[in-house]
Amino acid sequence: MPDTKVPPIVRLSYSKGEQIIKEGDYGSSIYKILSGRVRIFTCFGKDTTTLAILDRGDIFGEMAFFNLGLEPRSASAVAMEDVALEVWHAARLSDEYNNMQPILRYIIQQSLKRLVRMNKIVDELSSKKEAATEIDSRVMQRQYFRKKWDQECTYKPLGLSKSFRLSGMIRDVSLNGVGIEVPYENTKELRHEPGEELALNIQFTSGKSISLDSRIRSVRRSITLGYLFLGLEFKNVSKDAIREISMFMMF
Amino acid sequence: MQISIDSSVSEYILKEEIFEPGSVILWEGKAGDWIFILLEGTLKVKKRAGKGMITIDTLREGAVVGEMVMLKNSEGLRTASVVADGRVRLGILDKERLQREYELLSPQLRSLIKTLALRLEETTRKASLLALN
Repeated sequence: MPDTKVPPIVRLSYSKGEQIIKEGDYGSSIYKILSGRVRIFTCFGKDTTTLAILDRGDIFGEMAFFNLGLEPRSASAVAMEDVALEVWHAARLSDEYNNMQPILRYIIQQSLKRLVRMNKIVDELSSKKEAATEIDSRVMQRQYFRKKWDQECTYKPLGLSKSFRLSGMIRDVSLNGVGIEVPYENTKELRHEPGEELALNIQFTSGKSISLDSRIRSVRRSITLGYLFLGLEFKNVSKDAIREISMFMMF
Repeated sequence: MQISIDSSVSEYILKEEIFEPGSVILWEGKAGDWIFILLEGTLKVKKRAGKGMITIDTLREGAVVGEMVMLKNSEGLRTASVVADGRVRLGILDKERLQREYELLSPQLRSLIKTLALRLEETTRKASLLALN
């Protein structure tokens, strides 16, 4: 049986200016700085706020661990100079976390709850909040937490039982929705206007498929010539589908 | 209001104490290492800011207080003051036993937890500074 006290450790180097973690991405690795300095920051529109400058011995990426990787990275990390890092794999550590004395876990969860409350207060009190109210919060969320994903899909108007299907290409995904590219010629069959509801079907190479109900939130010309880019928001998505998507987004 | 605390938590309660309204249970900046759980009533978490004190958080039944010292593995100076907001009943936890069990965790998990505690401390400090302005 593997010794759970010694999770596998990987060492990585980053050059000055390289990004280590991107805010909004999904991941659960934890980093410890062996040498060099790392800047932790968040972006809000064009504004960047430095949260911390970390040094040798410091750890970052721990929030995603305590959130069990179900929430996106809350901040970005960039190498301020050449940096050597130790990367801890979350799986074994989370085994240990799940198997520790319940009271310790209880205490840690209480601290975590307080941290979430405090973060909220800091957010509300800082000027960030004022800027945020001007932007549709759901669109904002999608801008923040989406991940690139090239995946074929098919869709049809929600509620249509005919075996009518159009095909498109998913380009990014978040827990709220997906961005898909569709050929202009699809508009002959369907109007593709904001508010229209679509039944989306994704067929994975593994043979598994998921169906998601969604609503068109935005339509624009894609950077790919002859294509439209649709911003879709999920609608009444099942827990299973959310789990599928969040599993995908973790890796 | 009464809360039911899981037996895995309640078996660590050594004794219970009652505090009258306004009692200061922890003083920011003072040494101390006891940990307790709030069984009944409400507590205010306060930080020094400018010349006065500001309330930065309200704790309710089930909240654990005083755990930062153990999680940070530090000198044991309290990071905030905690004041009884009305009459409160506290359960004093078996600190030695908790400490022993905490030290059985792998160094990596402990340093993760310590990072969490430091982050909470830093965010709390930031919140109190912002609240002042």
